[in-house]
Amino acid sequence: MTHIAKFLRSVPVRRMLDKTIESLGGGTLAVFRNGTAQCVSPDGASPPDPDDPKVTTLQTEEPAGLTLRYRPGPATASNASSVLELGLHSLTQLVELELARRSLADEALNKYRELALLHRSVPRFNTSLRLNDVVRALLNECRRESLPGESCAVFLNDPGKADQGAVRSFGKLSGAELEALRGSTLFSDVIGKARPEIVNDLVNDDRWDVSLPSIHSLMAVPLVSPNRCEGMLILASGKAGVFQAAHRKHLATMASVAGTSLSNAFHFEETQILMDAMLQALAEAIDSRDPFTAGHSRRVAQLAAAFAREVGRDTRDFPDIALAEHEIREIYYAGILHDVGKIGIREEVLTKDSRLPAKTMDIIRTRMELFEEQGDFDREEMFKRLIELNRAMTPSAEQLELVEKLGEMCRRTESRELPLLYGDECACLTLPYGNLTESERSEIERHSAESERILNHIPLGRGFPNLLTVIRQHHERLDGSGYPDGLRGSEILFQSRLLAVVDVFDAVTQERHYKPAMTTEEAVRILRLEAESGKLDMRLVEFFVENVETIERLADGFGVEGASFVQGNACALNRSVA
Amino acid sequence: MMGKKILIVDDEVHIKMLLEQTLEELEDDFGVELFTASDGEEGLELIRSHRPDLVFLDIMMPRMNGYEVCRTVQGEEGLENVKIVLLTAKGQEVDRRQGLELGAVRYMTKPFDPDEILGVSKEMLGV
Repeated sequence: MTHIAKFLRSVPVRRMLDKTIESLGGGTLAVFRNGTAQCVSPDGASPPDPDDPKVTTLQTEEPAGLTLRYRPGPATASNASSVLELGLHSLTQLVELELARRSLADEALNKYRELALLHRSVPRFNTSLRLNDVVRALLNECRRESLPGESCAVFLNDPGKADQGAVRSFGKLSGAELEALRGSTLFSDVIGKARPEIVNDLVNDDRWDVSLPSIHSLMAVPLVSPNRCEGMLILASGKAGVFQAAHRKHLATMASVAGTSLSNAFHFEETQILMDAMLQALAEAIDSRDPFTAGHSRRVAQLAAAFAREVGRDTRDFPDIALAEHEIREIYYAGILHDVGKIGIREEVLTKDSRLPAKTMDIIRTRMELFEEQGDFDREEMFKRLIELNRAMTPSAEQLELVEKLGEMCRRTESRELPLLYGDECACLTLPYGNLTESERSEIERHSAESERILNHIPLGRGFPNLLTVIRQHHERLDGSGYPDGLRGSEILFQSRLLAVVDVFDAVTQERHYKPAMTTEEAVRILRLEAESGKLDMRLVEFFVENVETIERLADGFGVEGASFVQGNACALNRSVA
Repeated sequence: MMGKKILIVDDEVHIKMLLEQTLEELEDDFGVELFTASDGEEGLELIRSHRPDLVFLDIMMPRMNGYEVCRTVQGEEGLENVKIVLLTAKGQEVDRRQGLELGAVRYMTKPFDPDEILGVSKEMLGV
């Protein structure tokens, strides 16, 4: 051991030899190890020769393994031999203590190493809320540090929640072999006990009831969080007997941190899924008050998100626009929630499909029966024309004349006058466009501000700063003709303009009370008209109509069933590990 | 790496021992020479006489602290190639900055990571 030799050449040993020479009264003293003189006193003298008959030799055994040789001088004391023995004894003690000190230092240094390892590893688990990232960090730690085992795998307990399968691994075991491992009694036993375990001799363990000849020892570390077992970490080796208690301790510490991180990641994902589902249920409930709009919000959300993603990716028409994942998600939610305010609209207004409701028309028919007796009145013909007018988008000149004429007709009784058509009925029938009166129109136009008001209670603000604004603005038009605020041009957010295009597209291509469904081509035509007349954003409309098939296809990938967002939103903090 | 020298300066005996034992690997494998000093003054003398390539220097020591050693070495002709790594329990950002401003090439804290010590040594000695 060169370290002993080095120690024998050190100052404390030299000093000891010098003191011994003093007590001996002169002569030459040397300590040898493995046949070589390591230290001679006095310094510079030639070491005593073992073949010299005057030289005394004393020896000790390993681990010190020292040989002391003394050539007496003229003034050597008479008690030289006892001094020599004392000298050897002390020297041996010195060496043995030095050996002990070195072992202690080794132990201390190893502890420092382990601590440093933990100091470095543990923060790495705290950098992401995404399941994948935590699992990858755990595997990297196992691969990085000098832990035995050529294969390493992380099994997660809830396959439905993890990304693509329940296992991540590196090393030589195949997917099938890992599944077999998971199925072993040993695996279930360790998970059941929820404590890490080393099995250095798999072949002779009763619980090892699978056939995996390539591994002979393994360490199984359950990943436990405060409320449940999230999974298991396995290290496996082709050699037997490689795992030790220190390895288990080290991994147990990392596993406990990883367990908490995994739990957080699972919860985060669950919460996201839950929130998405709840918001969609809310929107669906409100949409379904009118059977013709059922599913509208979901479709708009999916189309808008797909549209936004394509716009963000595009560098030709939209080089100035880049959209982060959470911004696309924000647009998706805007789509889901934009018509929530319709809850405040009365059903008869929401589902109005004619100028006057059917009941009123019935009453008018009855009145006509009474009037028929007055003569010069073709009831059937009149009523038929009224029905046509009732469903018309715009009244013709003849229809307006008809209403004027009917409006003047009156039937007198003893006590009162009974008109054929009341004033408000005439007003409805003569509406220049559509079937909503002004007050009904106002009622409907309140819905975007209503949506904002209702949703104000939900603390969406942190992740989605623009959400409520986009919802409020989705009926604004570039030329100021929109509602509720009559904003113009750049006062309207980009996201609001995007949503408006999709909203119009879906409304047009779906059947409504007052019109049938139109084809995509017809919808495209209408969108272009709206853009040309300065209402919708031309650049957005052009991009949409050019890419409508791609966008519709991509739209399916969004939403609760689609995986697109579940993996999306990681923790807001993007720290790097120092 | 033959002929390279590392000096350890610390008033605590056990730190000197632990550092020496950690760096023994370089002694055995690369013929690096290790030697020690117990305070700033002794350290400075050895730096001048032996011109080590690398010095692990504690800060809080009697007779002359690590900062003063750094300052002296920084200003002295002939000692330009002596690389000083401060190894200390002092943890403030201002301590670190002061050390680096006085010419130390690295500022490391105690307790040290043996692997980091070896890594820094190999880097500073040019392996």
